[in-house]
Amino acid sequence: MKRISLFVILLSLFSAPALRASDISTEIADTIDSTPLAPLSTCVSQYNAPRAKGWLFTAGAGFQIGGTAPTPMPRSIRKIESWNPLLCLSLEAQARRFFDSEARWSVSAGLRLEQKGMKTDASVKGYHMEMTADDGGYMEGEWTGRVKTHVRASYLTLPLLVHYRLSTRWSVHAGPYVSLLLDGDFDGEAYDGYLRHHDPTGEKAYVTHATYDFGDDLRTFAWGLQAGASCMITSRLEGTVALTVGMNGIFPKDYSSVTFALYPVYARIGLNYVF
Amino acid sequence: MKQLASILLLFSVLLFSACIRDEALSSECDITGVSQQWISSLPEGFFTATPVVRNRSVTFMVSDEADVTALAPLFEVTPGATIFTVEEDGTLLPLSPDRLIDFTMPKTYRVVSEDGAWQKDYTVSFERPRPIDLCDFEDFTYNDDGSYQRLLWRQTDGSLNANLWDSGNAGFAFTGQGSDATAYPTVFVSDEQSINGRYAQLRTLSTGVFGTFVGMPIAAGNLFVGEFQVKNAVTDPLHATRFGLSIVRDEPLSIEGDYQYEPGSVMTGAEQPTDVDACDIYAVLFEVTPGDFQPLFGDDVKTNERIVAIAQLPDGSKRDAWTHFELPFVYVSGKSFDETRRQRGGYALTIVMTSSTGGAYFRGAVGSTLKVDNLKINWKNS
Repeated sequence: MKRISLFVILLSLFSAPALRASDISTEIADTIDSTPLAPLSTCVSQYNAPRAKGWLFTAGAGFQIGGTAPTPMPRSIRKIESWNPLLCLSLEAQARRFFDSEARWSVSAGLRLEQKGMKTDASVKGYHMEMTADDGGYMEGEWTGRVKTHVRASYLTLPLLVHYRLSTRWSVHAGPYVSLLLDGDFDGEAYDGYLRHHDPTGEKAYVTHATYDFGDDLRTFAWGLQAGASCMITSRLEGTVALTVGMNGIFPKDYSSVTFALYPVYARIGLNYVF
Repeated sequence: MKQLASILLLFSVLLFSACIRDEALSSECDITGVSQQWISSLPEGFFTATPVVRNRSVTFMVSDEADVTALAPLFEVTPGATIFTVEEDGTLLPLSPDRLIDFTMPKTYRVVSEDGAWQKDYTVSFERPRPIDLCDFEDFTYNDDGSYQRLLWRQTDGSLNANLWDSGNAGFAFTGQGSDATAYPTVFVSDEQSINGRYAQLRTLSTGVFGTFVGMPIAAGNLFVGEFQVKNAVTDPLHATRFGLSIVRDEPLSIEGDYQYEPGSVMTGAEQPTDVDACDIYAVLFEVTPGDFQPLFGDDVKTNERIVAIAQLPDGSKRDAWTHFELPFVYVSGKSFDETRRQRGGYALTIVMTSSTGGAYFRGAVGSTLKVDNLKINWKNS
């Protein structure tokens, strides 16, 4: 329920600037509409001179596909047995400001409600882990066997991007983003393997099934870098793909339950409506 | 768009698979077992129990007649690892079936991992366990890394044997709840409640978050004659406790001792809300095939067909003060003690004590505490 109401609030947030956008850009839009060009030309002219030094607003939806993984991948990870990207959706509104007369350079700020998640099943060998439970229980050891991980985190993300127009249809962008965690799950199981206490010489214990859940300890603030490309598909529709790479781990740095940093690396595929 | 999506999909898959690095050489260095071929090459009746392979020791229990002065045991080790004997001057010698070793004193073996970065020394010893007369829990030692206590049994010949009694402490070590050696379920303490020096204190403890992760919320304090195989403690707890040893010197009549019991207040895994925890103390005499020792396990220690007689505490309820018990061995109908069988090594015995009767099934109350001292076995011809 909490999540639904958030969506509603965000949607209304998105629609407000969109309305204003259409008001402000009426003049520009008129210019475009009055230009007697073929539909394709109309579409490719979106970034052109008429909008130079002006504003452009987009709103759209997309999905994220990727993984939350240690980088570099430790040698102890032997095989990704399966990987399920889950259905991670996003909604985004963006305001873009053009600066030069040719409308090549622009900067944008956006607001994105997004999910990043995955489900993996990996085979590991001698995977070092160190965990401290809420009750003070401490476990250190090396796990050999299978690990299932399920991550799904919802973020409110603010990307600040610099765009460069390559051609009439294509543009590229890059920049940082900051994210606020709204809700997150991080759980899974270790199964069909054995744990060696402390190090490879320690006591060995076979484990058929052990579950874990660290969802409550996910980091609230995250940041990272985004780079991607966009293409005008029709006069009003822009397709965009971007790679987002988290620059801080999903758990706090001093978090002792999961000692290796896990970074979210996700590709975003989206479709935007250009106002 | 479609193309882009597929490129991205491909990219994501590559991102994962391309990052898998070359497999490292194994860092494990275990003695995983004893060569069955070597065991079979020795005369029947040489061994009185299956070899006890622990993380840093291998113990062979042999009969009084067994000659241990010239043996060449062969071991199975982690694939890729190598095994040596450590000589007195520190040199390492590879094993050979022709190099006979005198095991009057324990011998050190070293296993080096495939990657060469890790090594582990094993103490290999041959023991002749003596029958238990009296156990007053005065002597204990620590495990390899000093995290918990292990009972030492002072044998009738004065020697200390670390392989007669065992407990589930090794399993509790994995929960991370044992902040120090006295915070484990099975400890040997001396305090104002002592009636005769140290006594065995068995407590049912919470295994914390990690115990919950594997569905084992409590650990009952236990102490028994036999072996606790920690490697199976999580996957198959009922078979991690291997009860019994061939330490029957005569017909056992009864076991006696002193105990105190305080059940904890909140039952975990209770079948009825009114359930109160209870302790258990019992001894089991059972038949074994000489030369092919088979222990009893957690799920059949009181029901196996090989059981000959059981001495059982009739009532495991609360006892505020030290209470004396004497439990006679009651024979299973149709069975009796056969002296000829005993002489062939055809009997084994276990004594089991636990702070929660249902501990093997993780039923018990955190805080339940059983204290035992002055344990004695009364033999017919003592």
